[in-house]
Amino acid sequence: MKQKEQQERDFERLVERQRQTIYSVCYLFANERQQADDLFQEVLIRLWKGFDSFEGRSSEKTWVYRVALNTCVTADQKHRRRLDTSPLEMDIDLFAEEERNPSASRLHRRISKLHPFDRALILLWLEDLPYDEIAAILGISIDNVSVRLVRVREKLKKITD
Amino acid sequence: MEQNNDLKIELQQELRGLQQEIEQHSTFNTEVWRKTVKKSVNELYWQNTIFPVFLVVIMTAATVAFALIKWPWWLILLFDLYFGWRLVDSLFARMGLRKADVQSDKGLLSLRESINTYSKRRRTIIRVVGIILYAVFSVCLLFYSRSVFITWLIWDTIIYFPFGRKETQRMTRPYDKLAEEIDELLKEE
Repeated sequence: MKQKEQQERDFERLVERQRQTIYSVCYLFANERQQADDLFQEVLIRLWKGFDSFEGRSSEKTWVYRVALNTCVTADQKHRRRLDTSPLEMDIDLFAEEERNPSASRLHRRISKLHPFDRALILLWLEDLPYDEIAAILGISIDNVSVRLVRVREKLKKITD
Repeated sequence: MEQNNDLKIELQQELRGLQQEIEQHSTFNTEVWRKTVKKSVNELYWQNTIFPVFLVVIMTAATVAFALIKWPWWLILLFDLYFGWRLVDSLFARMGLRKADVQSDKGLLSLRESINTYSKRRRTIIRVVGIILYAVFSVCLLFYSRSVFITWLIWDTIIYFPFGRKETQRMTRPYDKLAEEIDELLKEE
């Protein structure tokens, strides 16, 4: 019982430390508040389920990125919150804060025009992760990472222009 | 090259802006987490467990009832084998689903592979064996008693089978859909 409580506390501390990563991934993969909250709940459920098996072989941030991105990339866009579960929402409405932080909403506007898989790729690239780590997180080859990145950067440039 | 760097720096600044906003204006509410996600996980656990439990109850009750009305032992054994397979079918569907959840930290290719291994392939084998058992049991029942056979057909074909099938599909459909989506995402590989 004590071990379980300790595990819960460890998990809470991890989420507190990685809040920025989780919230920003959910925000950048959602089109509205409700969808961001649904993704947030799903990501937290999956992080909690996988917390036991996290052995610390990769950094904590990389692990959180893996789970959050895989969850958001594969989330059914029509899928709503899991039936019969209690809601868990992000305690910040980034969609309503656009005026306070125009750069965040500008990033959202640009990134949301990309395919979900490409969004994940760009986010990891912006975090300055090496290509082999990006490849490991997304489960594709290193060559594929560089080829895709060239293509996505071109797309982004067009969006920006 | 320089253009690429400019774009990267610009996007990184925007990302930092977003992260700063989150850092300054949000907190992770541990109390809410304790109350809701834990509850959600428990609810999902029960949702996933209730159907196999329901099958075990039906199987046990039916076995006792058949023994009381003096069915031959081989017929009861065949019934249990068939129902046992249905149970395995439903359990494997759930196991696959759980495996996919837990493997969220793997890359898409491994996730796809685990869906294949834990879901589709095994489910197909289980289904084929289930159909064979269903056929053997039904034929034996027909020889044993025509009226019992008709009752069985009504129960299993009209009442239980569509419900059981729907339940298993409800569990596995999002899972198969996920596999399709990953295939789509990786098509460019």
